[in-house]
Amino acid sequence: MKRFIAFLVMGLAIAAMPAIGATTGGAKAQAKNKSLEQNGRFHQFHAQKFAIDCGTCHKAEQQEVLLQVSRPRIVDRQICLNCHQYWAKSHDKPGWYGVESH
Amino acid sequence: MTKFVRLIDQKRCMGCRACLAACATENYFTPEAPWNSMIEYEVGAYPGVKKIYNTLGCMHCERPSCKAACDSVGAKAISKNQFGVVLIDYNKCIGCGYCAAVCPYGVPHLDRELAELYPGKGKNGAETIANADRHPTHRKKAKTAEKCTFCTHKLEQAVADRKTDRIGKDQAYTPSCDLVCPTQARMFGDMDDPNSDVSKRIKATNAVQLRKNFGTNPQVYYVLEQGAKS
Repeated sequence: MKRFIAFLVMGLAIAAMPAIGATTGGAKAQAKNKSLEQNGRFHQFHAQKFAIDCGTCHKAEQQEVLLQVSRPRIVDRQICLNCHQYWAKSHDKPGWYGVESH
Repeated sequence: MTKFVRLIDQKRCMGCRACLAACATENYFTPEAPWNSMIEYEVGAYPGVKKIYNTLGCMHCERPSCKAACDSVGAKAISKNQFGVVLIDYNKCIGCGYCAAVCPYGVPHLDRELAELYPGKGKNGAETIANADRHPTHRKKAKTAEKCTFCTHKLEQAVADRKTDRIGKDQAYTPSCDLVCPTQARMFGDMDDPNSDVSKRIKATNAVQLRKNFGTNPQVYYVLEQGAKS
């Protein structure tokens, strides 16, 4: 009986392994994809899907980021605002700015 | 209703950074993710040059863009509680950095690797406190976004002690940064109470929210020095 139970537990564990692996791998892949890296979802959306030129957001000149700290190549949130508040409303896209919290 | 807000008076601030030090100690700063920053810049032209000191923590917006972005990627790690405090659940955060990317104030920081305070010298100070002994907002994790919580552990304590009326008044129930300012440039309290010190001072000083055009309606108000950016 003990042997049977041991085999049963082992069998169940082996059967569940691919599912566990897929869940872990899926979560990791999701986290990796949803990143700000150049090959992540953020850049894919902006640069590939919407074909926005890099220079539209990443200006060569100094831009205001952290309120008053200006740094080159960093995206000014005002550029984000232009699309994600005004344009997004008319195109039913995620607004981000001015969205009610639930 | 209760709506906790912070008032920061640039005209009183002398840039001593006591608020930053208090926050670092209270909330166990890690090198990559400070919860409170000091931004300095100059305005005017010689001989009328003036230095502006602008401390910057989370604005705890009523319509937080960080939450909207977090929800849009499905992580749903950011919430806003009954006091209006915007919090990040480290267990749900996937470290995508979207919150940091969309915040108009650049507030959330992605703690990429939990760097040591003193590299090569082992654990120091708060680093020696085990996660299990910390408040959930202090259980730092690598690849997780962090930001100011309005010292929510203190607000929770006020609720537990049934002393919410003492928030902004008693040391135990008030955010540490607001306690230590030597020039009383900071104040914390209930905006919905017209008789609270903070709501009276906001009204008297015509304090404003920064970057109002983003429509996030922040819960931190500033008394702006002449020429300061809003």
